[in-house]
Amino acid sequence: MGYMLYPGCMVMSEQYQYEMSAKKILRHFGIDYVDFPEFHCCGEPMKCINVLTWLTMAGRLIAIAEKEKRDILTLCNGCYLSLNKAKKFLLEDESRREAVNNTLANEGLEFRGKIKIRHIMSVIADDIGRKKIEANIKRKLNGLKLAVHYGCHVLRPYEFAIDDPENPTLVERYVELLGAEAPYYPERMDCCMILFSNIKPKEADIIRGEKLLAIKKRGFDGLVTICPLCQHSYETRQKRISKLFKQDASIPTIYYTQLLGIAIGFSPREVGLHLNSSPVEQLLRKIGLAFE
Amino acid sequence: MRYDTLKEILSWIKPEVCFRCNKCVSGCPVAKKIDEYRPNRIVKLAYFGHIDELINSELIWYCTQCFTCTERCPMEVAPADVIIALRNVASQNHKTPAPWIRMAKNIVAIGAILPDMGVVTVDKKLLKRKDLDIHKYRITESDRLREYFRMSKIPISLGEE
Repeated sequence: MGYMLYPGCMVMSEQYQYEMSAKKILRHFGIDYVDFPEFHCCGEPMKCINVLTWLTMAGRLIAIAEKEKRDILTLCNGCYLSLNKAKKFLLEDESRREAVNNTLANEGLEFRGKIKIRHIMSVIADDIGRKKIEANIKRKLNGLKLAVHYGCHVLRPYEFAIDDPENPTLVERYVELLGAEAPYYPERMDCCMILFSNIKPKEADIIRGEKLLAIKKRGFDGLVTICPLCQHSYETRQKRISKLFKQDASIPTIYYTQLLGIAIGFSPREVGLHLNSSPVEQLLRKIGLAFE
Repeated sequence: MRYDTLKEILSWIKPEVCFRCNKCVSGCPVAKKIDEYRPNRIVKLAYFGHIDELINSELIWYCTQCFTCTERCPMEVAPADVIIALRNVASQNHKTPAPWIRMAKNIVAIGAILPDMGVVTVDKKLLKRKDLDIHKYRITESDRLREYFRMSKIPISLGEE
């Protein structure tokens, strides 16, 4: 059973480099995937307005993949939890499942909840694995000291977590596999505050800025993320945050898929690093690379 | 007033067993910054029926849904889920904050919560998705998405009916 890749809103509207780099990795390692035949939001933000609207949107995406007998592969942590939670909710709540399926029946779809919803990071770890990655490394990222940020929705609630919710090590292990260092730092579990920023943008930027400045103070060369909402919070907001704190809060911020892509020999542009707004050239310089 | 969603959700998360260990508060990134915001306080207020006070307050929209409170609660109270229920009730009563209405309108119009913003590349060029060599998705029809909102009877206007 292959995958159906679901990009998510942030990747559709600005985080293109995540999709570019993720697909480079998937193709390189021969992971069977197809693109979703159409796109609409997974429903996550609508959960806060109406639970049934969320369940219908998420249930529809699951039904589309189910029809093609494929598991869903998400890039975004938000979509990962939204779809997993909706699947569980619909399996347990017969009346809502009926309501959703009545709506979906209009277009010949049915939610059955038989497929899995996987996150790109766990696909990299479980389907590709350390051995294959190690055998494909062309550039060791020696000398880089990177701060890892997971993003809440792949860790909590526990039942859907890709690793230990309080003390995850998965991403650090996969960063170290590439030759870089990924030590513990006290701020690593701090949330990116994306939903809070809807209602309190300035306060959210303060919380993000505290993390970015701490990472800089601790001598990290960059920040590694696996979620487009976190990447947006920490990268796209850097200029705003620097103004707010009246000091330079900028630090190279990149997706794990981009880092892995560089390590297995792709050029910076092939993994979309030219689309990152943080000073990623600093990171490239340290490993003897530049934008050609 | 429609409190049915809240009643239902409160019925499966047992807020009455909260004994105020404050683990939710100590782990909450919002509580760290905002003194009035306490996940267990919101749960207790909901449990004792202070629904009007809660749905009229901006506080219930502060939760960033990181699920630390839900994960750490030793009694499975799940404050983050109580807050989702409260937001549903607030929305049924015309209290959805503007950013969420904006997201809903965008979803109906363009499928995603925000339009294609484009990014400025390292060569100082503004590129949008259409300019790049990546998959072009067909966007689901507005009418279909609008229907999902309409059947939930959310009292917010989503443009063109």
